[in-house]
Amino acid sequence: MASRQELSDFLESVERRAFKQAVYAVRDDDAALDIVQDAMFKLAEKYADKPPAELPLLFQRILQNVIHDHFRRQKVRNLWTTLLSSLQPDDDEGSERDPLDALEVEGDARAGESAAQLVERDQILRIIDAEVQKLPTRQREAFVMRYWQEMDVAETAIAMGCSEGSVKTHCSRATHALAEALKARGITL
Amino acid sequence: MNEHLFASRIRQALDESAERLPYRVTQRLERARLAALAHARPEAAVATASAGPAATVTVSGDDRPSVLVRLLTAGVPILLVVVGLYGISVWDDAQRAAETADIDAQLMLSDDEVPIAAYADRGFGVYIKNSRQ
Repeated sequence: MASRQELSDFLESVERRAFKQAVYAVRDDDAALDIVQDAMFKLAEKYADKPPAELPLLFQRILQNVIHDHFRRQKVRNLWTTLLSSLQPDDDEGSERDPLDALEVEGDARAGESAAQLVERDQILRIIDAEVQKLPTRQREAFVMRYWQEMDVAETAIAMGCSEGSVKTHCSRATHALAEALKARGITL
Repeated sequence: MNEHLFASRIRQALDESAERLPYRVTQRLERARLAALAHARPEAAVATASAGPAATVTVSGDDRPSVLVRLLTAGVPILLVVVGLYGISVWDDAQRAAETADIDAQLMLSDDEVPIAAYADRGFGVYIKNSRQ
């Protein structure tokens, strides 16, 4: 059974990756934050009594379900909002922006890098992010769980609800697609 | 470059990217985590990492009371209030009827205008008998 501290440590260790994973899927920061929060709540509420070793797979499964629920709800919502959207003025998104978003805290390890190197690295990371986001959904899910969340093939298959063979195929295709896309943009890793 | 090596390079980039999340996002994630922990089942909050094998806690799948129990818990007090209000209403009506009957009887007796038919009423006869005692 996971103690409160173990549960807290686990959530802290996965929250950023879970957020990125949700952003890749829904392409909206606020929706992704809601999804991660929802997944955290469900894990804490229903599965806090599980052993710590089981938490990563449970959390991935919950996260995937919450993302799918988001798309289901969005489908229903879109039916109404498309009908009513023409009656509402456009929101000024600029006025809602938090000035703190512009601040990025750099670690000590980056202190020695020049501004040009930092900008270049930042651009590369953004391109990689964008290319991962562009992958077909199932390929991206398999790649992220298998290689970023470091789940094994069997765990990834359970979390995705498919066979292990499908996971291997998705991962292989995702890797090749990413490699080609990055090569085309002149990025070598 | 093989698949695993390439994937590990991508993982490093994604980790670095996750470390550069905006302050607003990291703050919100922290708040969500703390809220989730506060929402955690009590068993998890009580258990400690130092608890040894002897201190194992058996946890059933779902310790919350069943829907029937929750419905009864919520329904019984409401039912009691409704029954209580109905009882008060009936008692109040009976009191009013008794007062009215008493007043009417007193008026009839004082004016000596009691209809003959009234003496044939069994209940009126009992009333007269009781009031004389």
